Amino acid sequence: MDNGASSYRRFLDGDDSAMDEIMEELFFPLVFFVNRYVQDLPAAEDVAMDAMTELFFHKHCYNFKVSLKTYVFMLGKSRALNYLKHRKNLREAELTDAEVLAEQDELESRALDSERKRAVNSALLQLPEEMRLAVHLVFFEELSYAEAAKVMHKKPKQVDNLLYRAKTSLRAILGEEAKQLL
Amino acid sequence: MKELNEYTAEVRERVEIRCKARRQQRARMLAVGVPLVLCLVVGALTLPRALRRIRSSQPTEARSEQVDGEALATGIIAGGLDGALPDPVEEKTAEGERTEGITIGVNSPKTSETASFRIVWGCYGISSYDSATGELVKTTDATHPEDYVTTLNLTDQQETELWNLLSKLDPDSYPEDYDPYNDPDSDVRMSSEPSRDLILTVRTEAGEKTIACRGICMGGAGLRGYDDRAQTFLEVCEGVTRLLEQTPEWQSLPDYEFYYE
Repeated sequence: MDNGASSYRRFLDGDDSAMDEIMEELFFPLVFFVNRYVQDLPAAEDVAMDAMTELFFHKHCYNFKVSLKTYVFMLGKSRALNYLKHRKNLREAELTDAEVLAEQDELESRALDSERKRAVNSALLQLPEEMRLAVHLVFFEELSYAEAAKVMHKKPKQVDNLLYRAKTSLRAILGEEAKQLL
Repeated sequence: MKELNEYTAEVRERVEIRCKARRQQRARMLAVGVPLVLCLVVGALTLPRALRRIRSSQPTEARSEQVDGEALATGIIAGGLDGALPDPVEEKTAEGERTEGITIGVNSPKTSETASFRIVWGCYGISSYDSATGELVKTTDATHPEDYVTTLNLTDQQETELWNLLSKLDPDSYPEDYDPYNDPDSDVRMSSEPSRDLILTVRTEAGEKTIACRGICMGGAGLRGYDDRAQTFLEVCEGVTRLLEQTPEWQSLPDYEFYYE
């Protein structure tokens, strides 16, 4: 799949199964990404579903100039920031710590397909937010620097700098293990 | 955490809900917008016609009042003569006649009772007539000027003709010192030797207005006023003097003793 663009073309042509393909490819990574902003899994799910709904409802907003994954992540980030802005007005249902941890683990295992990524993810929590996002987009979602810069509203050089500093910090955190992981 | 197909189903449901809401919104807009636009179009088409019909169906008296109102607004009936002259609306409806400017009823008894005029004309202003006293002077330039004075009591027909002529003027629109041959804004002046005087005074209940043209050209064939208003003034004054000079009273006065040399 070419980052979902061909599936989206088929969806626009009326092929309903293309929607399933896009969801399978992008939904959990999107939830995982949005969760980095909102730090609340049910909210991240809702925001991600909202972003996907937007993608399938406004059929001609995506212009194929960037990869579908980049576009969806941009939608997700925009909705996540909106959610954070309006969060104080929303009523939240309480979950127990055990439930939360279990769900986050499950999401991690669905979104991150390798042991290596999971190991880095655990260390990421100690980094500043922007570094976390840069590492997430480039190492986990395998976006290019330019695509990650588009999602983060930064220049590629800034993303490069963030990643350089993130790697240095991760090496300090992970020690010898980092040499194999990064 | 739910399975992917559950999330997919929920996304599908959300998309359908949004599509349905959009369809409803479109239907609502059509339901309100189309009749509204139709109403506006129909109103815009029919309202001017309806207004025209209402205007044309108004009674004659009301329309006469409107016409009179327009005349007042344009200043045709102004100041001097309006209080003295018969009511234009009554005369219009009675006689069905309307002249430009002041409207005067035919054979109106009010004319001589409520308004009068005096006109002075001729070379150096030697002839005059005053309708209030009936004094008609052929000339003041004589050894015995009293021989050239008589009394002229106008007949109804003469009176009507005179006032019909005078009704063409709006006295208030003329200055008190006036030269109908020379445009005050023009550098070119026209004069003659000898000159003549032409002084018209109109008296009404509302007041008196004198238009004095002193030392103006003698006039004659082809010599016109400098504009339409001036030409009207000259035509009215010449019409009045011609009418006076055709009366038997004028004709019975002796010939001029002196002529200009």
